[in-house]
Amino acid sequence: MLNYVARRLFYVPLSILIVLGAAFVVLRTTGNPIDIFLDPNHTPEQAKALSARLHLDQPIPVQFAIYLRDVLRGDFGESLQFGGPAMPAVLGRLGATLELLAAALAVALVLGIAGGVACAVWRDRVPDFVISTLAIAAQSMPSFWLGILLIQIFAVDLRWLPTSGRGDLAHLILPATTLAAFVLPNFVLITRTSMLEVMGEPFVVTGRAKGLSAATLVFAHVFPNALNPILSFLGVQVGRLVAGSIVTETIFSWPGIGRLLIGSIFQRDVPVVLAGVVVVSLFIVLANLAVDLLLSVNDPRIRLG
Amino acid sequence: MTGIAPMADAPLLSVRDLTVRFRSGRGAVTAIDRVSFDVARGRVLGLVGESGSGKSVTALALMRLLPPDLAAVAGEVRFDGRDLVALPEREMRRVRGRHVSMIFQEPMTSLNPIASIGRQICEPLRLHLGLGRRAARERAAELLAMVAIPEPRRRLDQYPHELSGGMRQRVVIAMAIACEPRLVIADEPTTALDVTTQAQILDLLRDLQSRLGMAIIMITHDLGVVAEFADDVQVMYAGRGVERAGVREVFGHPRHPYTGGLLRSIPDFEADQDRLIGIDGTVPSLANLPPGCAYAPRCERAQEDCRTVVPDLDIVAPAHRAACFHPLGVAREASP
Repeated sequence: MLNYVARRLFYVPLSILIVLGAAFVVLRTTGNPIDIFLDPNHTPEQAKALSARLHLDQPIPVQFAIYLRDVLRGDFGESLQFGGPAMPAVLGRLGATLELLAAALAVALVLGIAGGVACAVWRDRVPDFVISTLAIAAQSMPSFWLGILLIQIFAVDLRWLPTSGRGDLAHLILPATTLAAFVLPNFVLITRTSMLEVMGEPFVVTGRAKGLSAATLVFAHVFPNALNPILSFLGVQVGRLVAGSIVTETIFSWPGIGRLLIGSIFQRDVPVVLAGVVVVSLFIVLANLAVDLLLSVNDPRIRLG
Repeated sequence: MTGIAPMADAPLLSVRDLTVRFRSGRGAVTAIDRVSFDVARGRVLGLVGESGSGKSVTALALMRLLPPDLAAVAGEVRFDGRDLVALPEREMRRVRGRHVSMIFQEPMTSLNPIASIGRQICEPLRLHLGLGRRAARERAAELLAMVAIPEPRRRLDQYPHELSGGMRQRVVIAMAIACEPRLVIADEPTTALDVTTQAQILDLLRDLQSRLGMAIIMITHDLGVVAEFADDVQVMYAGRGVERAGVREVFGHPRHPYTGGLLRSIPDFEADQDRLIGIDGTVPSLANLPPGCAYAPRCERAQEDCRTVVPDLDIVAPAHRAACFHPLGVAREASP
């Protein structure tokens, strides 16, 4: 087990390096910070000086090598828009993003699993029909549209909740709901499928032959077995959830990493974007590692190999 | 009335006209048609037939484990004076695993792969006997020792994938006998195992049966298992009982031509036989049974009456029933 974790951790820097390289090349080839940060009437000398400071006069591989060297020393560069170091600017937003992600994930997991279990238990009956139909409809709904719709209804018309920003629990409700809705239908459907599959296993008949009640069977035997595909799916969904959080943060002006990244991309604030990419990819990799650990806790066949 | 057991001692299980109809897309299919048999206390009934003859459906119907939305069950299953077919589900749950339990064919899939052996054996003990955690664990270890699993205490914390097929089947048996039920239904318990393991499992079952005095319904397609194991035999064909008698009687004087055919198809190695003997034709589809005796199309003794009327399982000799108008060992009458 520890071996496995160690092996997985070994690959973490490699994944981060690949993501960083890709982001670096894209950012360097699609725009030039000089035009944005220097006065439109800048002199060629000013441009040259900034170019040299940012190593823009070097070929891209050399720039990347210089960047990596600095990163290994813990230096992610200076933010062009804020002036201070880039990494603290990103980490300062981490709390807000984690808060939003945790709230959305909790809602999506709890409601998604409960809905999927209900569908499987009442297969082909009214609850299944209603929940499955809602899930499929919700799956095809763009999250930015849902966000705007929720703002219109609950913030503008009813005035129950704030339209944007971060603060008390009331501020969290709309963005968390929007983000949760982005992944919730998938959790409903995967839970339903997985539960139904396990319900067809012979050991369920064994359990009934022992005299176990339907409720005991569903919760103590079927669900733990159905959890494996749900957890694996969760690993995949973390990436989608982070991507969705960027959109959600933008719609609700949520002061998280997503909104910072979008702004920094438009500003060509390369150090901040790259620092954000490092933090986000590290988060996704660690979340997947956590999912793998949960899988092995749940399933002795994985744990004992 | 139709029991083999003496009338004075009511049988433990008395099945009368058990009928199971499956609703399917194209109407209903009768999987079990008016099957009747008795199981006396502490005795072994062999339920024999090819695949599709309705043996397993009979077992599941006795335990009321068929999905109620798909299967309509009629008839009477009198166990210890109570009709299991009419019992409310809540009370039926107290019968399952407590008084009647089941051993399944596939030990690889009949255990929950992510629950420990100990937990799975303790479940019926805690549920039916109300044992506490420690007492149940003690008893589970005893049960594993009873089914001859070495190092029972260590096994309690193991998982199914850590055991071989034979060991898993022993675990399934331990689970089935946990509450010392009066009837165990074993549905092809050795079919999925290799030959040496089969013999061990059968020995174990016989040993447990005599020690615990439980009755067994042994469902199998293997006549060898029946000959060794059963006291009484019920032969099934296309969802109907076709012959019922004591094991010696059935093997010595089969009356139904189907039973005769089954017995003839056992290879005789002493007679230096060149080819294997089989029964010509195939088992008819349950959705499309012939109007009379289901075996008539394959039967060399079939006559006109066989093709129009379904024969009842009637007495053809003392304590011997066969559903046949022209049974074996009886002078052939000219057709009217």
